[in-house]
Amino acid sequence: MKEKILCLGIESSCDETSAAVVDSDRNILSHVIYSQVPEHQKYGGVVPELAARAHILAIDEVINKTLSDAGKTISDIDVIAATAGPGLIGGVLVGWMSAVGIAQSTGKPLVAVNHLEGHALVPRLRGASAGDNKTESISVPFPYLLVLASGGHTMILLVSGVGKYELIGQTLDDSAGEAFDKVSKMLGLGYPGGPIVDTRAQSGNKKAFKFPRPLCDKPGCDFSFSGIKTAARTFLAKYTTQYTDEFINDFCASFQASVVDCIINRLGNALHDERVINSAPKTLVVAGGVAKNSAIRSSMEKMATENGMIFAAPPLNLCTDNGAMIAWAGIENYLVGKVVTEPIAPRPRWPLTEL
Amino acid sequence: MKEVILKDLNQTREWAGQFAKTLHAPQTIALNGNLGIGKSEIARAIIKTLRGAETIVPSPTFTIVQNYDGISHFDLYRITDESELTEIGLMHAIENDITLIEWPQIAEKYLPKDTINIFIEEFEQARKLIIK
Repeated sequence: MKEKILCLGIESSCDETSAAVVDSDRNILSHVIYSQVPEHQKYGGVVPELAARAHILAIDEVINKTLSDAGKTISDIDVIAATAGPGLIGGVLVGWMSAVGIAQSTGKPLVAVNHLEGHALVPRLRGASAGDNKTESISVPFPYLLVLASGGHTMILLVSGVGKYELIGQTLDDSAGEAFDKVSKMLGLGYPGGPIVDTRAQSGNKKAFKFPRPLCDKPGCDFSFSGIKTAARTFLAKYTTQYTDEFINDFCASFQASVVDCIINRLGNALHDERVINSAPKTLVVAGGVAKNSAIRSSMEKMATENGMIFAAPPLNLCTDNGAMIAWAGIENYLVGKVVTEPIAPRPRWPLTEL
Repeated sequence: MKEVILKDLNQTREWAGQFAKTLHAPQTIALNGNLGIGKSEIARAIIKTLRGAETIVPSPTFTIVQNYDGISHFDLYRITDESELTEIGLMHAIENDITLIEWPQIAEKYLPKDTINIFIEEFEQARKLIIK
């Protein structure tokens, strides 16, 4: 085996068509992200039909630009990796079939990456210590306790190795990202809702509105966010006039505080979960699109400090869907021998516990 | 046509549980109502009644569809083109499953004649269901 492995990773399971070349020494040689978000903004959400069509139009150029930015040709690459699920099947197929085509025509090994595993492992590629302000970055060692929160998922995972993920808690209804998107839509603020609500919340009073903290009075590590969304709708139904900036800021701050409190409450219980105690993770990690949220990052960092743990989170551009995390997961899987040996079908539904 | 007033979540769950027991596949149920009115809550109660209280029923908004062994739960909120309905498996589900559809408008002309339409509205401090 060569000393340094080069992997081309391809991601196309939702908004982004993305590719990256990453090496086994944790260097990102190139990274191209083509986002369809501007096309989705007018609909207030991801549009699957648009997504598949836009991926097809973008994918060849994204892959070619990634290789040329890295100063490499396909023959320099050792491993091909692509997202094979879960996600919107049309988009996943575009990236996956491109990877299959490249692997078959070059005879190079192919890794089928679970999209969630990409998010779960990317803190090992880049886990910026103490938020984003430090330029130094750490590689998070196993085991770690992970909050994986995005538009489609919200879960607490104990990550003890490549392919070794234990589900400690998960949402029983909406994801955290969906709550942000829907509240943003109710306020007429646009898509994606997370960054907009975060910015507005920074100028607002988080005690202005009383949002519920679903499940926080109960044991366990599961989440429920649909009640927060309903509370938002009920509040807003009482106001018929135009919302002032102050109203919006206070509303966003109060809503966001309820989401943060729920995550911290559930994490508190997770730290007392028997599996977590036995594994004794030293690092508390947040990943996924919602990990960009400044309030979630700072609250989790505080919690880590209070519990003698290190806080880690990927840099902001590696939180949302991206090709680098798929390339990195490709390297990690390749190094433990997990490559595709017979044809597989992409899986729209693919829990991390079924790897 | 039938109208039901549900004062709180418990009443909603109780009603949905009773309603679930009357369903036999294939049967399509269209859930109509505004954002956050409780469409998913009704779907969740139906699925839990039929597939066990421990069943986790996440929102299908992001994934478009969630399957529960003979029950399909769709959210067509993000679908803007009818051509997508086949790709996401809606037609197959309608012919075989108990199929719950949130934001069903875009699929209206494909829904079977015996579709049960549930309209959820706000009514004073409660929810009103109109079932057709």
